Amino acid sequence: MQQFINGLSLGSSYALLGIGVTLVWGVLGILTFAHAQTMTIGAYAALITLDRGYPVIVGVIAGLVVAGLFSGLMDLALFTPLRRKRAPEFAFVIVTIGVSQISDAFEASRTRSQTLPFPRKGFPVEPLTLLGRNVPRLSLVMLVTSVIVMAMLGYWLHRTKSGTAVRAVAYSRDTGELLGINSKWIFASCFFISGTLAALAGIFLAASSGQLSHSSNDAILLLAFAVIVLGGMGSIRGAIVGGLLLGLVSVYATVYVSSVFREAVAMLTILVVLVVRPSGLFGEKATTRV
Amino acid sequence: MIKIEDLVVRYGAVVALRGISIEVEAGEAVSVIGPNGAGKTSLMRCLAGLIKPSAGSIMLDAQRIGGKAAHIVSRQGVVLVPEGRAILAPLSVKQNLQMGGYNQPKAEVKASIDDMIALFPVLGRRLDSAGGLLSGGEQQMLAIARGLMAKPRLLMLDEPSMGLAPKVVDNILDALRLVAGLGTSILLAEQNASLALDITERAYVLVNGEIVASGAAAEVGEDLLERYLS
Repeated sequence: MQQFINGLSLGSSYALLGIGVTLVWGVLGILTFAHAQTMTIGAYAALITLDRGYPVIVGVIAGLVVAGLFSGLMDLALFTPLRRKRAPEFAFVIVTIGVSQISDAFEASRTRSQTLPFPRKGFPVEPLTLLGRNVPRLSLVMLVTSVIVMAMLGYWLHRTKSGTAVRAVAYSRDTGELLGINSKWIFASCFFISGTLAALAGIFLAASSGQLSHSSNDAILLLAFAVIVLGGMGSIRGAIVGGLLLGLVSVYATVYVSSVFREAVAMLTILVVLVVRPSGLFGEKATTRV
Repeated sequence: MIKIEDLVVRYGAVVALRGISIEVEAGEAVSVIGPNGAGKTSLMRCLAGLIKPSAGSIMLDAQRIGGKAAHIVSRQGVVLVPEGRAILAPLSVKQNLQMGGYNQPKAEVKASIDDMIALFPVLGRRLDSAGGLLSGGEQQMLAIARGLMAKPRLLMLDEPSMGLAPKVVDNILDALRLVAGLGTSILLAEQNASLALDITERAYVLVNGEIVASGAAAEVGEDLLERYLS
C-alpha cells in the first residue's frame, strides 16, 4: 500500500510533466527539450518567493506564472518566427535544446552549481494515517492535483471553444488561420499552460525531496517523453495513465529489484507496451494528414 | 468591393503570379479559370492572407488587406474554402462548423448551423461524425458550409469540383447559386471552365500567372477557353 501510494505520487509528477509535454509535442507537434529547465525555473521562482517568507500559495503561484511566461515567451520570441518561415521540425528541436542549455548555464551560475534546500514549511508534508499505514500527505495532494488538472485540460480541449481552436490549429495552422483563429496566440497560450504544468511538477518534486539544483530535473525529461510515447501521442488521458504506470513501475523496481535498475525497468515496460501497441496505450492509430 | 491590382506572387525564384488585376463587385459571382499550375491556388492563398504578395495591392473597399495575416483577412469577411477542402479531420462535423463561426457571437453560431443543415441536409445527419470520416462530396459541402459560418462578404472557393462525381458537383453548384442569390460575393477558381461559366457572371482566364482574357461569362468564348485550356 505504502509503495503503491509512493508510486502513484511519483507517477503523478511524471503525469503532470507528461501532460505539459503532450500539449506542445502531442498536440502542437513541437518536441521541447526545454521542458526540464522550465520545470526547474518554476521551482526556483517558488523557492525564492518562499525564502522571502511568503506563504506557500504565493510561492506556488509565482512558480507557475514565471515558468508559464518563460515558456510562452520562448514560443513568441523563437518559435513564432520559425513557424512564419515554415522551418523544418528539426529546427524547433535544436532551438529547444539551445534554450535548455542556456538556461541551465544561467541557473548553474546563479546558484554556483549548489543544491539549495527547498523550504517545505507550509507544504502538507506530514504523514497521514490511511488504512493503518503512513502515507505522505504531499503524495496524495500531488495525485489529486494531477487528476484535477487532467480533467480540466481534457474538458478544455474537447468541450470549449478555445480548446477546440487549439485542436484545429494543431491539426492545420493554415486552416485555423483561414477560419479566423489567431494561431500565434493559440501556440503561445499552450506553451504558457505547458510551462505552468511543468512548474507544478517541479515544485512538487522539490517539496517532496526538500532540495533543488539546476540539474534536478534533467533525468526526468526523458521519462516525460517516455510517458507520452507510452500513453499515446497527443492523448491527455494517455499521458496521465502512462505517468502513473511509470511511477508505479519505478517504485516497485526500486523496492523489489534495485534502485540501479529503476530507469531500466521503467524503459523495459515501455518497450513491451510499444511492441504490443506501437501507438501507445491511448494513441489513435497512426494516420496521415491529407 | 475587392480590387486586386498588379499582384505579384513569387516563391523564391519561381514567379506564380505576374502582376494580375481582378475586381469583384458586391454581390457578384466571378470565376478565375485556368489550367493546372496557372496560379489559381497561389491567387486564392494570397487573397486569403496565407501567402504574402511580392508586389501589388489588394483592397477591400477602402481597406488594404494585402499582406495581412489570414485570420485578420478572414475577420474582415474574405473567406477561403481551400483546395482539397482542409477538413479538420479529428473534429466532429459540428465542431468544424463551430470553428467556421469562430469570430461570430455564440447565439448566431447556433442559428447559422441550422441554416447550414438546411442548405446541406446530409451534414445534419452526420453532425457528430469526425470530419475525416465524411465522403469527398460531404467534405466539400462541409468546407463550404464552414466557410459560410463566418458570414463572409466574399466567399472564395478553390476547385470545389475537384475529384467529385457529377451528381455531387450539381448539388454543390445549386448551393452556391443559392448563396450568391442571397448577396454573398463569390470568387471561384476552377479548372472546369463550363462549370465555372455556368454559375458566375464574369470570368478571368488565368494562364501561366497572367490574365489572358476576361469578360462576361457569355463573352469569354469557348474557342478562347479551348485555346488556353486544352
